[in-house]
Amino acid sequence: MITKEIAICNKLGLHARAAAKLVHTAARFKSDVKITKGAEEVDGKSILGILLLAASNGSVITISANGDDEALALESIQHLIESKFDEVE
Amino acid sequence: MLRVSQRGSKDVRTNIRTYKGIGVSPGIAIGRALIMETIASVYRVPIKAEDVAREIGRFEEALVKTQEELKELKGKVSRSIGDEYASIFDAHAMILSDPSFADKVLQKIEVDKVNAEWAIFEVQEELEARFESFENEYLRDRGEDIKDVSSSLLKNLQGMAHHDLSEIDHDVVIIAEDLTPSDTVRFNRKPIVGFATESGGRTSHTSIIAKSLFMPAIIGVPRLTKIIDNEELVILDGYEGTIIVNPSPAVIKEYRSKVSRHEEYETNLLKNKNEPATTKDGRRVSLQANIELVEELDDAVRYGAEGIGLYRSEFLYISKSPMLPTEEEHFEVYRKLAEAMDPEWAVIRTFDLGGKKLAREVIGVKEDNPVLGLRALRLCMKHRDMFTTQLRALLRASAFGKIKIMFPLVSGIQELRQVKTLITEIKAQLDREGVAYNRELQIGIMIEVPAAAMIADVLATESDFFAIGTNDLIQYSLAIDRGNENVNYLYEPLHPAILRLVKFVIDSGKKAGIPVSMCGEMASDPLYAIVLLGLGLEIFSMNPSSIPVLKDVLRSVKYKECRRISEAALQKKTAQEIEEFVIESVALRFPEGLVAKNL
Repeated sequence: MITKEIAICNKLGLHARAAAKLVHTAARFKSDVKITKGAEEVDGKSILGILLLAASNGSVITISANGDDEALALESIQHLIESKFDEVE
Repeated sequence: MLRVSQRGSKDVRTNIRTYKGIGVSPGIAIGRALIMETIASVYRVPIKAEDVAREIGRFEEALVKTQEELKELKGKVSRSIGDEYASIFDAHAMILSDPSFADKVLQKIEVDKVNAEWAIFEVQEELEARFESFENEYLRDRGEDIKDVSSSLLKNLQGMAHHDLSEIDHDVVIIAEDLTPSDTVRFNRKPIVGFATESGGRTSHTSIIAKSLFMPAIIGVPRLTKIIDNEELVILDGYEGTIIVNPSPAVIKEYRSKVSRHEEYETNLLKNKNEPATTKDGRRVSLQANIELVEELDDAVRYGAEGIGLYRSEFLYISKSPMLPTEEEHFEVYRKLAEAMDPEWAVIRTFDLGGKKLAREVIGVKEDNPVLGLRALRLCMKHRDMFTTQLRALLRASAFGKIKIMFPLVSGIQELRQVKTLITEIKAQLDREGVAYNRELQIGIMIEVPAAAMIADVLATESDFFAIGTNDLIQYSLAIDRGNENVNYLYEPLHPAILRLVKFVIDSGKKAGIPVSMCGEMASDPLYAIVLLGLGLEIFSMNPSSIPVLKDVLRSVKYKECRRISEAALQKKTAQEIEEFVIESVALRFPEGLVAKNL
């Protein structure tokens, strides 16, 4: 299992559409994806779970991936978050 | 959750009452009131172990059905009003298909041994409570989506299919506390002829959809569901924003004839579509359209608009909320506007957000006095990234056709200079990127702050055009909130101060050789338009459907006479004196004008 801390840098945070993109990305991989913020851990393939993290701009989340393609999964998710979910702000 | 209330259906009151709200979608609807309760009556029913499988089956069936409905709604909305509105239903479908939602419901059914309704209700409540605890406004609002989704589920579970209503054999006006966009779309069918809500908030989307579906609608009538009973006959006037309960036969007759007169009149008026807006003595003016959706371009053309005098770009913001529109999304809309009206122009106003409109959403803080707070251009200059995205898209779109940019709520020349500096910077950036834009792009301002009106001569030296926004200009000048029923009697468009300000703005524009238009409601009222024509106004911009009436009026009057009326009006001391004088003069000089006024 590998983990990585990433700061949410898009302006609106993990709102519905951003969360949906994250789910789409995570679901492409076989690995289990978990997202943690503070004491809360949610399934990276569940939109409700992600929404309930209430991760607004500036919050730091930890992503962990566990499985055959864990490295690629983590990298793809990191890229998505760092590219601000392709939102123009 | 919408359910038909049983309350009061036997004991129909008979007194005539009239209530005032905000008309958000024009038209007149006459029908029996049908009150929708927004809270479901859900009961906790313990079930036996052997019934768990049956209950799960019910839930899964409702789940499938709701998914299908969402798909259908999405298709319907994207066909009738466009993809941008359909994305709401996409988000709902995603929530429904999230295993963590369904699993929680199943768990409650299995472990707690309760009926599916109660299980859904509890899951919804739990989720909502968590969303409500969020500090971030954008994220907190997602709770509303959970509620909407569970409502649809509960309805399907209880077999409350929509066709229940279609069995009603008389026309129905829906009365509700609040309506979601999905409710509104579903209402677009017989026997529903209109709707009225208590809530004035969260309805912007709902109102837009109602308007696009040609369904008369009123919002913001306080306590409406408490003061109207089921089955009471109501007349809903979406033009005036009024709802009349238990009208007398005479009133019903009057409204029925108003409806048919309006239809007939409109058909007749559309005959003038290709005629120029020229007065009897040859003064040519331009009638343009105020729109908020690209889809309204068809209306603008149908009613004979000579260009778009005002495109309210904030609706683009609303439709994407809580996301910000991307540069490409802005660009696509502006490009359509640029191409659609060619050879006429489309004036695009940058975000007029804040004030009463969406203040909470945009700035995230509650201001004590939002109308005098961070709004419109001030807000955009503060949220520079959001503004730059819009301006870049506008500049890029200017290469494709005829658009002009306009800034709202400018109060002094310093603000105009600051925004022009920003535009210069963006132009330089586009030059570096090798992106095309119209180098002659015209930049104008709204004149809606009294201070701006009083220095119109100064502003005219650095602005390419003016558009007078009377709604705000009147409210700010007379220091009254039109929505406040204690003072709204003071909202007087013909107040001598307003006429003087408007005259000064028109004269200053003329002296500087720049066009002056008016895009407030005042411009579309036949009586006021006569005064404005007399003051020298040449461009009138209004809702597309108002154009034919106004053209008819303007074609039936003489400019010289109007000028005399206006000059005399400027000598009067009160709004009432002016109004009486104008009505009298119009009746005397052009009796046809009053026909339109009475419509």
